[in-house]
Amino acid sequence: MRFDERVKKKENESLWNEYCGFLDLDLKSTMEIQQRLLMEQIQLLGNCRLGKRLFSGQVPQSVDEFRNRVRLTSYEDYADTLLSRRRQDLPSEPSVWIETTWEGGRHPVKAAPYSEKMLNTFRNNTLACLMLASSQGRGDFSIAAQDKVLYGVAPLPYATGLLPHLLEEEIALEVLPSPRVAQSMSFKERNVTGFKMGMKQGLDIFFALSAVAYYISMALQEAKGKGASSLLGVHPKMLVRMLRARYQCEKEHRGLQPRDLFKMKALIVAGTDSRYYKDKLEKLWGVRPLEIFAGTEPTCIATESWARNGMYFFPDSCFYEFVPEKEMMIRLSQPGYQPKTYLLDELTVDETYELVVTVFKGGAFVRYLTGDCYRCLAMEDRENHIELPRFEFVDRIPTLIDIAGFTRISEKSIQDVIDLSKLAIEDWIALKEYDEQWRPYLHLIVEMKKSSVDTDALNSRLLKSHLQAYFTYFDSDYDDLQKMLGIDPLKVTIVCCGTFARYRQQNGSIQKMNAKKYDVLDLLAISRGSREG
Amino acid sequence: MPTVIIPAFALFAYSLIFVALTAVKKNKTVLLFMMMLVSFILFSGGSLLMRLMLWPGVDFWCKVSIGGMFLIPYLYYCLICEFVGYQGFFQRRVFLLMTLVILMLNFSNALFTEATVVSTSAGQAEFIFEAKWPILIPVVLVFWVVIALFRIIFRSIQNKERALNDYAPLLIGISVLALGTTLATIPAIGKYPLDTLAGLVNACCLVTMLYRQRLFKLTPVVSRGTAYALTAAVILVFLVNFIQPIERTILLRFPQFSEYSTSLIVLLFTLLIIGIYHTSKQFLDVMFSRDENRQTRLLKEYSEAINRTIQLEELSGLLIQVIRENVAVEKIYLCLKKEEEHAYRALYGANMLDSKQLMFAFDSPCVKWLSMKQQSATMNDFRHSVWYKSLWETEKEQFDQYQIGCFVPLFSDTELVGILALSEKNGHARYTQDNLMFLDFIASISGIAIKNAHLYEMIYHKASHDNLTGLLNREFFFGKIEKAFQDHIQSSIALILFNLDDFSLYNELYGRSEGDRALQGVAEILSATGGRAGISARYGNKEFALLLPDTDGQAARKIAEMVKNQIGRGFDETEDQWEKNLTVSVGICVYPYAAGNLQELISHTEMAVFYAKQNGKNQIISYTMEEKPILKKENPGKNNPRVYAQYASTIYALTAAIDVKDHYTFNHSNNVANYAARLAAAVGLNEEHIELIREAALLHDIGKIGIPEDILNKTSTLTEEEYAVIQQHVENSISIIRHLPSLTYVIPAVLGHHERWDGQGYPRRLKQEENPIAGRCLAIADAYDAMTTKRSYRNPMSKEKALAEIERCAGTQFDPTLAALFVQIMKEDGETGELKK
Repeated sequence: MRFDERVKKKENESLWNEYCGFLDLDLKSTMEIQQRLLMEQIQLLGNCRLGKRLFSGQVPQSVDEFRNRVRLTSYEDYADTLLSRRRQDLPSEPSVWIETTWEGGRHPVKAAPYSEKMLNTFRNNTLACLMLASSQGRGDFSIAAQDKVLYGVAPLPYATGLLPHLLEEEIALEVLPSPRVAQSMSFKERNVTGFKMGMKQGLDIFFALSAVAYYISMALQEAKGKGASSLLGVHPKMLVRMLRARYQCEKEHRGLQPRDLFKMKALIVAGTDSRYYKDKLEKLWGVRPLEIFAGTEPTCIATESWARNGMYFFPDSCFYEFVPEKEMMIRLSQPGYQPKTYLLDELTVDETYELVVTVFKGGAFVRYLTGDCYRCLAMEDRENHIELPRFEFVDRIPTLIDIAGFTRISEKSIQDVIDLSKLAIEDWIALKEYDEQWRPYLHLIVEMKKSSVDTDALNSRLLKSHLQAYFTYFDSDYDDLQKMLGIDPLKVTIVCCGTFARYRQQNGSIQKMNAKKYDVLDLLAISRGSREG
Repeated sequence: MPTVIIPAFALFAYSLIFVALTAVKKNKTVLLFMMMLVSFILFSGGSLLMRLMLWPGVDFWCKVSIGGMFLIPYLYYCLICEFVGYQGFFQRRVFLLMTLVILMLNFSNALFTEATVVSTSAGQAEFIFEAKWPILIPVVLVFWVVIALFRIIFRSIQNKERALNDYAPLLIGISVLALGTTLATIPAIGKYPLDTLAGLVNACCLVTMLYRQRLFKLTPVVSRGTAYALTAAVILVFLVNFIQPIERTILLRFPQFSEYSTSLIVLLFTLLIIGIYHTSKQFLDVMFSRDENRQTRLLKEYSEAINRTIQLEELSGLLIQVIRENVAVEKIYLCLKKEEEHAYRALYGANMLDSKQLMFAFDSPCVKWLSMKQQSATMNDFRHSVWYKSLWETEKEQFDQYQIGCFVPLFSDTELVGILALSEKNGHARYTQDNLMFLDFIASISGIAIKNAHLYEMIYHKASHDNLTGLLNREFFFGKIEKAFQDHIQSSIALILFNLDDFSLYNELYGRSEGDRALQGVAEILSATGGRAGISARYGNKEFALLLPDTDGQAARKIAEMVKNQIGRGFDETEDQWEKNLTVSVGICVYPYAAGNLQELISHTEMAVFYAKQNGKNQIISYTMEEKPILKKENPGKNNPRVYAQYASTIYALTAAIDVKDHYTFNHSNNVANYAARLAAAVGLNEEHIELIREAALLHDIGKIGIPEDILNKTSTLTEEEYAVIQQHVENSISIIRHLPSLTYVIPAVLGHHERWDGQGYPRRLKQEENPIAGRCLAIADAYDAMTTKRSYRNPMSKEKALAEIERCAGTQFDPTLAALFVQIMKEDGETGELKK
C-alpha cells in the first residue's frame, strides 16, 4: 500500500514507526543495524571487481577487520570505474547514475551509481524527513496526498532531482511546477514559476537549499504588487490571504513575507550555511525549517527531529565513521596518512569530525571521505527522549570552500583560475567569509608580482572582475550564485609585494585555504606595516 | 401483506441483534446501541401490532411506534458522541429534555390526532392520523441532531481521530433512514412501512460500523436459550396473525374436521415451533458460533494430543495441522533453534516436499522484533517496523520467496524456542485479529511442548548418534539392525564394513581436523549411498557400517566399490600441495547366502574386513561360505624390524643413486640416523620410536634424487629459484615413501626435518610441538651433520663450533630442550657414542 493510502486509512502510528522509528532506537540498536548492514555490503563488495580491489583481494570477515584493513578512499579511487560507467565492476546493478560537479575544468563531474535498493532507502528516508518537517512532536505529522510542494533544489542529474520521481511512487504530492513541465526549465525558471504557482494555489511544503529559500523569501518581501492581472487565476482562499496580508503589511509598514500568505506544513532546508539562514527563514515563513543532509555519494543521510535542534543519522543509508578534526588536519597536510576513525557510539561531545561513509545496499563508496564536517552536539536529547548522537553540519573540510551549497572551490581550482587568467599573482590565500547579511563569499588575498606593479593596470576591482570571469568559465555553479541568489561571491584584497615572504620569515607557512583567523590578521598587519613603513 | 411482513421481519431482525448483543461484553457504546435497538423494536413492534389491530387498540400501538421513533434521534446522538469520544453534555441534556417533552406530547395526543382505521376499496385497512403544530418540536429536534452529528463527525475527521471510512456505514444508514422516512410521507407509497424498512437497514449499518471498530464480537452468543426466545417471538407473531385465518380455512374447506380444528391448529403450530427452533438455531450456529465451537474443539484435541507425545516430528505435524484447519494457509514452516548454526532453521513444513531452506539468524532483526513483541505478527507489521531496515536484501528475498505472511514466536518462559512462519493466506486474504489471537493461543500451549520435544530429540540424537559424523553409533546400530533383520528375515540383507587404511598416519600427516573432515566425508557418502532404506553407522574409530536390506551380494559389492572409489577421491576442498590420499578396506557379508543369522552376519563381515586389512588393504573382500577368510591375526607391520629389512635393498639402491648425484647424502643419512637415534634414546623414547626415527633418518633425504645434479653440487650461493628447488626434496621424499606402504609411518618425521621451532621452516611451517618429536630430533641431527661434514659449497665446521651454533639456534631453529640435550650428549659421548636409555 502506498504511503498516501496509509495516511488516508489513518495508519499514522504505523507510518511513524516505519519511517521515523529510528529515532526511538537506542544507540546500541542503531549500531546493530549499522553493523549488520555493513556486513551485507561487505558481502556484496566481496563479489565484485571494485570491492575486491578495495579489499586487496581479501574480504573482511568482521567490522573490526573491515576498519583495520580497508583504507580510506576518495573519489580518485573510483574515478576510473565510475566515470567510465563500468557497471559490471560494481556491487549491484545501478538503476540510475547521479552526477555532481567535481573539480571544475580538470574533472568536470563526479558520477555515483544508485542501485534500486539504495533508491528505496533514499525514498524512505526522504519521506521520514517530510514527516518530521511537518511534525511538532513524536508521532505527529500532517503530510498527505495533494499537498503542494515547491522544490528549490537542483534537478537531475543531481541527487536532489530524484526526489519528485522517488516520492511520486509513494505519495501524490502536487509539485509546483510538475516535473514534466519543469524538465525543460532552468533552475531559476523553475523556482520562479513554482513560487508564482504557489502564490495562486497555496503552498504546503517547501524544500530548498537554504540559500535559495532565503533568496526567494527576500525577493517576495521586496516585490511590489503588479496590479489586478496578477490576481487572475488565484484560488479564492489565496486571494483572501493575499488581501489580508497586504492590509496587514500596510498597517505594519513592512514588506510582504511568506508567512503572510502561506500556512506551511513543512519547510525543509539543506546545504552548507543552513545554520545561518534557519532563524531568518523561521521569521519569514512562520515555521522553523527542518535541516537535512543529502549528498551525491552518501544519499540522504541525516535529518533533524521534530525538535529541530540538530541532525540524526539514518541508520540504514551508510555506515558512518568519523575522523576527529586533529586527525583530519594531519590527513590534509600529509597525503597518504590514514587517520583514525570512530563510530557513532565512540564520539565526544563538541568535537568536530569529518564524515566517512560506506554506502549500503550495493553502493559503490567504501570508507569514503566525504569532505563534510559535523560537530557532535550531544549524545542524546533527553527532553525529547532521543538516545542518539545529535550533530550540526559545520562546513566542508578546510581545503574546500563551499558557497551556499552551490559550488565547491578547492586550492587546485583557484590555482587553475589564476593560471588561466594569466594575472601576475605572486601568492595568495583563500578564505570563506560572510557579509553583514550572513551571505557567504570567497575572499582572495593576493600579492602581485613586483614586476607587474609598474606595468599592469591593477586594482582590486579589476582583479576581481578578471578572476570572476575565469571562475564563471571554470565552474558554471559559480555563475548561478550571482544570477540566482544575488550573492557577490568574490572579494579580492591586494597585499603589499613581499608580504607573504615576510610572513613566512616571521611565522612559517600559512594555509592556502581557510587559514586561521590570527594568521590572516598577522598577514594583513604585515602588509599594512609595509605600507605605513 | 407487506404492511405486516416488513414490520414483522424488522422486529425479528432487531430482536435477533438485540439478543445477540445481550451475550457480548458490554461497554457504554454497546449499551447505547442496545437502547437504540429497543427504540427500533418499539417502533417496528408498535407498527406491526397497530397493523394487526391488537388490544388495547390501534391508537395505543400507534403511540408506541411513534414514541419509539422519537427516541431514535436522542439515542443516535448519544451513541455517536460515545463512539467518537465527544462529551457534548449540554446538547445531550437539551436533546433529552426535548425528547421527554415530545414523548409526553405524543401520549397526550398533542402531536397527532388519534389514529383511526378506515377501509380502502381493496378491503385493506388504512390508519389515518393528522399532525398538529407541536410536531414542529420533533422536526426541529431531528434537524438539530443531524446538524450536531455532522459537526461531530466532521470534527473527528479533521482532528484525525477517525477516518471518513470509519463513518461510511453510518452515513449510508442515515441516508437510507432519511430517504425511508421522507418516502413514508408521500401518500401514494406512504401506506407501505418504508420507514420501518429504512430503520432496519440503518440498524444493520450501525452493527457493521461498530463491529468493524471491534467494539464487540458476535461469536460467543448463541445458545439454546437464544433460539427459544427467537422461536417464541416468531411464533407469537404467527399465532396472532394467522390463527383465525387458519381456523376459518379449516371450517370452510374441511368442515368434516371442524370438531378437530383446535387439535389441528395445535399440531400445526407444534410442527412450526420445532421447524423454526431448529432453523433459527442452525442459522445462528452458522452465523456466529460454528467456527468458534469448531475451533474450541480442535484446540482441545490439540492440547490433549501434544500432551501425549514427545516426538518432535509428531508434535510439529499436529501443530501444523491444527493451524491449517483454522487458518486458510497453505505453507507453514516450523523453524527451531539450531545453536550450532546460530539460527532458527525450518525443520518441518506443511508438506514434506516444502523447501526447508528458510532460516532466521539469531541476529536477524526479525528474531529481535519477535522476541520483543512476544506475539504473532504479520509480515506487513514487520515491514512497517523500524527493525525491517536492518534486514539484508537476501533475507527480504527469502521472505518474498517463501511468501511469508505471518510470524508466530514460540516461547518457553522467556526463551524463544522457535518461530512458525506462515505463508500468505489463500487468495492473499489478510490475517485477521482473530487469526492472530488463535495463533498466539496455539503458540502459548505449544512453546513448552516443542522445547521439551526438541530437547528430547537432541538428547536422543546425542545418545544414538556419533557426534562427529552424525551417523548412528555402534550401540544404536545394533538395535536398529536387529529390527531390520527381523523385518527382512524372509528376504536378503547385506552388511558392509568400511575400515579406513592407515588413518592414524593420515591424522598425523594432515592434522586431526583434516582427519575429522575425512570421517565426516565418509559419513556423508554412506548416508547418501544407503538412502532411506539403508542404515549407516560409525562402527568404530575409523570403521563404518552400512546395512542394506533387500540387497544381494552383487549389488552390495557394487555399492561397496562405489563408496571405496568415492573415498579414494579424497575430501580435500582446498588447493593444498599435498595430495591427501585415503584408502579403505571393505568387508561384505550377505544374509542368507553367507550367514545363517544376525550374529553370523556381523562376525563374518568383521572377518572379511580383517582379511582385507591383513592382505594388503585397499580392497573389498566378500565373505563366502566356501572360502573362509584367514582368521589368524598378524602383527601389522609398522614396528616390525623386518619391514625395514624388506625395503632395505630398495632404500640402499635409492640412496646409492643419490650418492652418485650428491656424494654427501649416503653417509649423511647414516650419520643423521646415528645422531637422531642417540638423541631419541637420551630423551627417553621407547625402542620402537627410536627405530622409527632411525628409519626416518635413513630415508629423510631420499627425495634429493629428483633434484638436478648441478644444483645439488653447486659450489656458489644458491639463487632463490634454486633454493626453492632444493626445498622440494622433502616433498619428493614423501612421494617416494608413500610407495613403500609399510614405511608410511616414517613420513611425519621425514616431513619435519626442515621445520623450525619458530615456525619459519618448510614445507609446512610447523611451529614448536606441531612438529612431532621425531621430526625435531631429525632437524638437529641433520643440521649438525651438515655443519660438520664437507659440502660442495664449503668446508666442514669444527664440532665445537657446530655445537655452539646449535646452542645459539635453540629456541628459534631447534627445540631448546632437545638442542641442549644434543649438545650435552655430543660433548659427553663424542661422535660415536652408544645409545643410552
